Amino acid sequence: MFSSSYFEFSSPVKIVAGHHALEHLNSALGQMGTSCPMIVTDRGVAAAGLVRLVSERMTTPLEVGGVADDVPPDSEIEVVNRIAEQYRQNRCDGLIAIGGGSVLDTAKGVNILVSEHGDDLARFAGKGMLRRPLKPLVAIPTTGSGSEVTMTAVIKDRRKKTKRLFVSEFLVPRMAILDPRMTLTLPLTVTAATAMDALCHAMESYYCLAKNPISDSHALKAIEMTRDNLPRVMANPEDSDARLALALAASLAGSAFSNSMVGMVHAISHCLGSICGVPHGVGNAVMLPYGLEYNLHKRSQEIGELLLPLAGPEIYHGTSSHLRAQKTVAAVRNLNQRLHEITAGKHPRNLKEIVNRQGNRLVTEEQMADIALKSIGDGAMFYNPEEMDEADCILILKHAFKGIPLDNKLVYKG
Amino acid sequence: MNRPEAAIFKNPAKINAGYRALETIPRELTWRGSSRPLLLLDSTSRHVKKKIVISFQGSQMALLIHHMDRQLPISDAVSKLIHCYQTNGCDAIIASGAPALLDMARLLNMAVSQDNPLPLHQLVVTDHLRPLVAVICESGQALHLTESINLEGRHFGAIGLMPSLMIIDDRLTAGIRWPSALSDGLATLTLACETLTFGQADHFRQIYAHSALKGVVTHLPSVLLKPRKHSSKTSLIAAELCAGLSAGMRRCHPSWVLAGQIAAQTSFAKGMVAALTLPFALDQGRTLPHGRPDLLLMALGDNDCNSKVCTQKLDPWDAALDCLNQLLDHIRSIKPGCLPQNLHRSGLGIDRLEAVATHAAGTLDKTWDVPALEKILKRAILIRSAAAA
Repeated sequence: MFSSSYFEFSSPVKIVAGHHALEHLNSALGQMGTSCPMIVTDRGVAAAGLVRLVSERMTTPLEVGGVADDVPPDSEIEVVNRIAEQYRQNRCDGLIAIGGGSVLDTAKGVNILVSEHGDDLARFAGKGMLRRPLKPLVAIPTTGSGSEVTMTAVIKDRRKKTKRLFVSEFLVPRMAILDPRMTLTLPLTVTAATAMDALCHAMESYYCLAKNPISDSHALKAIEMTRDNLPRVMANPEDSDARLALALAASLAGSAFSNSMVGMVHAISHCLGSICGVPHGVGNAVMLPYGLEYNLHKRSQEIGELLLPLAGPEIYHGTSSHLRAQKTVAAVRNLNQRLHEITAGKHPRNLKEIVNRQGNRLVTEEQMADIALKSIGDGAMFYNPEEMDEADCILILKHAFKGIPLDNKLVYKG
Repeated sequence: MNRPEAAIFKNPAKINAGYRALETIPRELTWRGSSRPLLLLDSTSRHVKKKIVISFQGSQMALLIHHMDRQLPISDAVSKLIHCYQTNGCDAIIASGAPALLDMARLLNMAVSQDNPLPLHQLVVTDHLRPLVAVICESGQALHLTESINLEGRHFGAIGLMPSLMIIDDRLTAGIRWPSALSDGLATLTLACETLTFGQADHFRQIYAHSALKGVVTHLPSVLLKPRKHSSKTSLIAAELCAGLSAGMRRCHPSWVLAGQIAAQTSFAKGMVAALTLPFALDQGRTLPHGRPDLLLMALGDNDCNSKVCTQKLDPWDAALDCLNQLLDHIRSIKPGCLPQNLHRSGLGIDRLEAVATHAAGTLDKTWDVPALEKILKRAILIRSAAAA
């Protein structure tokens, strides 16, 4: 059994999860001393009526200090600056983030600026740059990014074509409200992508270098809940019990990876996002089987253990122990395939199937060298069990582009 | 359809566990905006003073040290601490010592976070608590920190007062002797088992209880086999904390509650009593509609055992009890004589069972009535071995 000589675990978010969890918002804001919070969200969430669902539950003396609903799919520094300015002008005293990972990260970025009275977000990039608690932030996720429990924020710096990472325990929201009413209208393609994102968080946290016993328990539970409930939601999007379970799974996976880090799948996915504009969950879904394959020889036991929560006891019991790791990889590929079929081809199985609204491919083979170079330098790569060089990364990207399993004989390391 | 109320869970404590965890204290306090911590020690923790002081070398922090006087009444002791804290301009608390000292530290934190000075009996928990670091140097301390404080008739919930940071360093856990590790490990085992099986635990509590059980199953035998493997002791302490966080108010934990009373009346340690009672409590719990032996089995058994039970439709109660009894027998085989087969030699007479059960039933939820608890105790005293039963 893998055993680290040292580990840290922190998950201080107060989580309120249930079919009526939103009803706790009013009292929670009061206890935090907030009376005029700013709502940060995106146009899709606002159009779905979810902002109104939240604001209706804020009764006097609470009032909404302002609504910033123009957060783009990828959080950007310019947007953070603009919302922070709006916060100051409206004299708000707290934040409510309603949305997916980008909204939550944007709200965290705004919180940094308004709490530190700063205007240069880049100054706080990195780990441990914040020294004191920030303004109260309540996170109400509408997808399954898990960002409501993480101490990180990833915000794009458009000018430098890179993503800046902010890491601090003070970034963690004071409270996360998981209410299935917030995800009932989530389109199936986004549901699939974010569920695979959560799966990736949980699986990478389980087999990467910084794993610890407490995050392992979070990861295993998250995988099991995703296995049980993703098919239910894909079959019946209005299954609120299953929606709640998926939201919980995403939170648990967020806690897991927040405390044990992730690996090459995220490293590559970050760069697919910053260079090609690939949504984070989609990138993770496509790259996950390759991450498992690349690390198979070093983490076959851990990857094999994942077969039980991923595929269930019958398949686990019926698979010889020396084949379980490969079966785990196959199970992830099968899951991507099923999601591809259910979404009528919209959930991609490989990089060339990732397209924008106009049907144009987001990832091209000409970009692979650039993606590989940046991926090697991504912080997440540090925690990957097997070392990777540029050549290996390009090889993996080429396989992922075509959607063929990785041929380990061609890999220089591993 | 009636749906359950929202589940609410919070774990305020960060855990830094392993070799050189002590050295993380200065940067953790710096990250929390502190520079003048007050270090509280007592007679049980004087041996760790030097190690803690060394960890602050080069940190540019002003560490103030205060040795607790055990003779003082609690209110005088806390007043003295408040005076020391405020006079020296402290902005954080580090505590290492016996449970009483840990409670003092928690009370001190409450007191200094008030806007205005308040007498002890009027203290309230606020959002302005200072950073509180608990340095664990003995087994049972982590578990104690998840228990509420009862002070002069008032009850302060544990979660609101928990340390923001728990330090579990191999160099300090090295001093934990195996009898303590065994007793507290068994207490952890019992608490986590009952949380999973009877506690109707939400997903968060299930996870922490699961983590605790995995820790005990893996590391308690290791501690007994290799007393010098300090990392195993560290892992056991982390499991203690997880078990405590998962257990909540402990109203669904019959073995735990019974053990508290029996240990107070006999020479048996609480953890030992709890573990000897547990198999019979689990067996009794088969009749409960909300019992979850599947969750217990997932934590106690290995993956092959669990998947076999599921696929072959075996009785999960039997399988869970088998796993538990195998673990206890394994412990007995490592250290013969360390764990008796039953409570027969505890000195608890059959005539006292009803009184113990009646007292316990007052603390537990209605599921556990006096006859059921009495039956558990009778079996724990009279039956030669739980495995045979």
